[in-house]
Amino acid sequence: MRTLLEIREYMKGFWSRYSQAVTIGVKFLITLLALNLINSRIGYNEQLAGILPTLLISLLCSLIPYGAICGILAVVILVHLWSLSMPVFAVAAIIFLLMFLLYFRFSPGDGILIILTPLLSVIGIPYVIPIAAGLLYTPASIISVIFGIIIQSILTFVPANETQLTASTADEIVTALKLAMDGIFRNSTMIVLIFAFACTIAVVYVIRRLRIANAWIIGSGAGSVVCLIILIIGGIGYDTNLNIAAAFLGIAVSFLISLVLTFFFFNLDYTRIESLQFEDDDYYYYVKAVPKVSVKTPKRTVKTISHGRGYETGYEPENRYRNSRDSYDGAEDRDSYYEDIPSDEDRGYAESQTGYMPGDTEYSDSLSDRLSDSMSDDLSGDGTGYEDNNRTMDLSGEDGFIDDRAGRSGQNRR
Amino acid sequence: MLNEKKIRLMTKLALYEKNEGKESSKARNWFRADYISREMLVSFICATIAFVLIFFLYAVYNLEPLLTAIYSRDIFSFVRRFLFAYILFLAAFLLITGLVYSYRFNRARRRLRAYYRGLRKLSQMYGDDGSENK
Repeated sequence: MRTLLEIREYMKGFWSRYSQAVTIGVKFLITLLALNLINSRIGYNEQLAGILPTLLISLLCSLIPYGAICGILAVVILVHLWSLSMPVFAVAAIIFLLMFLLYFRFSPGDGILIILTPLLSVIGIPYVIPIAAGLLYTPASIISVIFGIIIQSILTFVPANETQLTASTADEIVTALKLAMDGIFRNSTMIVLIFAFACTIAVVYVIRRLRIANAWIIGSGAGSVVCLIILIIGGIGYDTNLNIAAAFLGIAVSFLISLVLTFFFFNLDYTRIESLQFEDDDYYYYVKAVPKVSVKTPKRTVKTISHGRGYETGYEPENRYRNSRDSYDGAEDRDSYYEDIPSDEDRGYAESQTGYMPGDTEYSDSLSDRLSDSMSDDLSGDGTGYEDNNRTMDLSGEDGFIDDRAGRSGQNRR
Repeated sequence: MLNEKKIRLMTKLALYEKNEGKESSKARNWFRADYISREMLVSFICATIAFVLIFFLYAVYNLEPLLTAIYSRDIFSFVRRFLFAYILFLAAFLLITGLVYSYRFNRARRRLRAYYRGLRKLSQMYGDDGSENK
């Protein structure tokens, strides 16, 4: 366990140091894999399916947000489909237009799910997507995942029926259009998958928000079970192509992956490490702000009426595990439980080293909620150097620092 | 000499500007009703285009029954059904738009207020002489 914790700390340090490079690298890799999948399945336009265009598009996509990457990949798919046949191009174009008109109107920023769903389907573990979406995103991500499944359906259906889809006369075009729509929408496997994934996301999301111990792990487990049950029922009731044994294996692997995700993301959000630049009259500041995890636990008053002593103790529990007497090791008897509330010094090694509070459990809604909360706080210093209530500002040495010389010369900006 | 309190505050303000600056400009430049109306108008256009696209798919798929309905002088009931579906779709979409953007506007207002509070605090740190150069 200690090794794992060390790995996590190492990853956090690594991310805070190289977050921009890693993000670019990950986007490049995901786009490259996605293009590779598209080209291998529907690479009808040979110019676009070549190595050079693929690399160029991947490079371009490594610099833009995931929503825009979705747009570019959609265009690539459309170009390939246009090379095959107009009817299937029309159907796909309408699907993509609907996606952008209806969904990206509200741009929730989980476009990566649309790309990852077909990608992970190839290696047989698409089931990790709904679990991860439930853990890391909101239920609105159901729509992203649904679009991902529809795109996966296009990528499966078109290569299997390419001869029927090519059309030249008007009658053939109408027939091909109907065939394309039948193949893409009246696909019972796809419908069962959509239903299973939507339910899984909802279940995982609801459970991981509960104030219970190990909510993330229980949520992942429950989501996996729900997904498997729906797939089995769907497999029996409808004519799906799903292999239940493979699905079971895929869900088991997905659950294991979700445990890894829980370990690395529960209480930690790597993506919120921010590098900032600003200036005042005297200095330029280059600050790296590393988020702590804040607590938003309801104030709890424990009224004990026993032993004739009748006292009232108010405290704010620091940890959801300590909300539950069962899971708190020191809860041998009532008095020792309430008197042994750990002090700040007891809260673990990580705080002093990293600025994270391992005892804390729940994010507030977003960075900015925390920002607005903390702005109204009294900023009267806590004597801990560069920490405030929410962030550790790393102002030293290599990572984010205040360069006095930069302030004076204005040239040595990092 | 570095003023840590000031750096903390400026970091928070810079974070806000970096992440929320764009959203906050909506709250700063628009009245609530105007902002939501504008978004509803955009949604109306989006929903209309989307509905036409969906109808196109539906029409192509059900070409024969549709033509039969039109030729059998049942066109009024067909138009009625079409309009009913359109209005239902539009209403649902506009309702979602209204809820989402009203929530976003309120959130942006809240954050903007907090940002101004921070700015005032920063200004006070400069001794109210307004000489900050942020």
